[in-house]
Amino acid sequence: MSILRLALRNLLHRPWTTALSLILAALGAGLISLILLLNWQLEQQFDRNLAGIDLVVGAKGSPLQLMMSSMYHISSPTGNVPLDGVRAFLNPEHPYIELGVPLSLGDSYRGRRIVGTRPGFLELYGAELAEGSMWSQPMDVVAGATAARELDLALGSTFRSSHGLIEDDDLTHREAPEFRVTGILAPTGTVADLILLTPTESLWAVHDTHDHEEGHAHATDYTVTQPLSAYAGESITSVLIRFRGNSVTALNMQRSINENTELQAVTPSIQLAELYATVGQGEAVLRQLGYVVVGVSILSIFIGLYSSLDRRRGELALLRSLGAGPGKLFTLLLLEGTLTAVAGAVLGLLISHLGLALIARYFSETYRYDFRALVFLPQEAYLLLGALLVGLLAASIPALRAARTDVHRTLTS
Amino acid sequence: MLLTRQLTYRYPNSGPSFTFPDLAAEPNAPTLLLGPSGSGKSTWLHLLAGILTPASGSTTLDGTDYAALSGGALDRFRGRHIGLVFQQSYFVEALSVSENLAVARRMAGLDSNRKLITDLLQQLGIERYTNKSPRQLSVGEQQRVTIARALVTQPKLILADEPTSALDNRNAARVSTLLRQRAAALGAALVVVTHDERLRRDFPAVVELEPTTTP
Repeated sequence: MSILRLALRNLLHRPWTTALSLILAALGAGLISLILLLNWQLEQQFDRNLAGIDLVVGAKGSPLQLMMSSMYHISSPTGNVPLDGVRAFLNPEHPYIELGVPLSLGDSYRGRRIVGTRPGFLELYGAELAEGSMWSQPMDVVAGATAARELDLALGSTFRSSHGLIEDDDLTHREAPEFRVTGILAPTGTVADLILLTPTESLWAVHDTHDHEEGHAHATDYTVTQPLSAYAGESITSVLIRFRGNSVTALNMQRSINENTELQAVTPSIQLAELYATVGQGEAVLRQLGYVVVGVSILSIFIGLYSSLDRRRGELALLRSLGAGPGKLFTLLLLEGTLTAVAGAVLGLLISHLGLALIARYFSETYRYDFRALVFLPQEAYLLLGALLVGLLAASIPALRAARTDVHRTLTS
Repeated sequence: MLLTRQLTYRYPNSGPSFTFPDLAAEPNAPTLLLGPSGSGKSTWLHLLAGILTPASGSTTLDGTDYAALSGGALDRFRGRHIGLVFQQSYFVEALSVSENLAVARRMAGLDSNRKLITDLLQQLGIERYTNKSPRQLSVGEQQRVTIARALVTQPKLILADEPTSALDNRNAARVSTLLRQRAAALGAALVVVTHDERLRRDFPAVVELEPTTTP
């Protein structure tokens, strides 16, 4: 019967007091850890998908929406822009632009977004083909790794897209030609995993069948290997741009586009910083709530131990008379406090990871984003260390009083 | 054996002072310290137990003057060599009867010898309470558990403070017999402090205390 086991038995002997302290400690630690985890996951997701993109150019509207739809494939696009307006950005010979990737958005297949683009997209996200080959004609599809797995797509699979970004049978393009999978990408850990890529012309072909009642597909009229700048009269959704060299060019070009054209240009890093600042305010409130709960849990451990001292005076005097020095009684009470706090914190971490798993499920269903619930952050180790300190702090005064037990007076009263 | 010489105690803040007669308690001669309330019996017992430190004088057990020890050394000496039976039964509430005995060995720095604990509970006729909480037992049974705990460290000296005053005649006689038997079996010196006249005839050596306090 070591001091540690004795401390455990004492805690179990007053289950309700212990449970209350445990729950409060779990709540505090869980809240703080959940905030840490969510924050980390969010920044991970956003930062990983920055992909060196310096500028997003698209239709006027909310800058956040433009960035979200074009870079993260969340929320709807701001609208289309005429190809003529963005032709310059797609010119491979452009003096300032290293890479300009056109995007055509708005269609989907069973909730996965279909993105009309050029092979430059793969370069942007460092994606490589795992099997099959790149597209060679309109309606060819190269599927992201996750999308292919979840939609059960293999080489040669065919499907019809639907209009809009949600799964809705009524919006399926029934008249349009079918898409055919020619390649599947290796996992990249970026949004490239989550979407279906196709040449821009495929989307034009699909929508041509709307526009022209006679319904003759133009699919074969397009040459998907030529630069997009060769076309006239068509439109796309946006262009992702990576600059050559420094970012002064980017800032100047952004201002000039926003002021002088019907287009909108967004710098993702600035937009993200603003987003973090907004999210950060809510986060700060939650974090403070977490600290308050931690404070209450300290109080609860303190009160639990302190009030137990009155009932345990005889018991503590007995332990002294059996040979336990004041140090041992001090340790006993300290252990009772820290065990409660640390066990509560461990419980809290478990709960927060469980909560994250639930949130991750929601996110992957709603936004097709993958969150990892089983990631442990170094901050969580600090959280456990903090719990240890909280336990020591809460238990120190009761422990001091226990160590000062006057055996003679207690046993003769 | 236990030897005390010129033992005095003074309570702090001009409380009462006591001078105690010299004592020599041998393993084969259980000693009864008899006196009315207020005669300083409990003070004397706590001095003998090393719970209080005397103002002057010595308490020597088998050659060690533990009145001169202090702090952790005194706690360890008491835990290892002195078995205590108190008037009121104290237990670690969260633990069972046998675990309370195991804790006593542990606090004395000994291993929790399961066999010794089982044998002891059997000898005292309380083995059926091994896994019960002490609070579920009757007062007489609790007193026997307390005696078992005082014996479980196999001490050289057993001190009992009013071990029978809360018990009826039958239980009192039983506790008195148990204490003397087990002390003799262990070869430990036994000192019982009481105002209970019923015990007088059981003990060969009786020291009577007068209700005197020297200012």
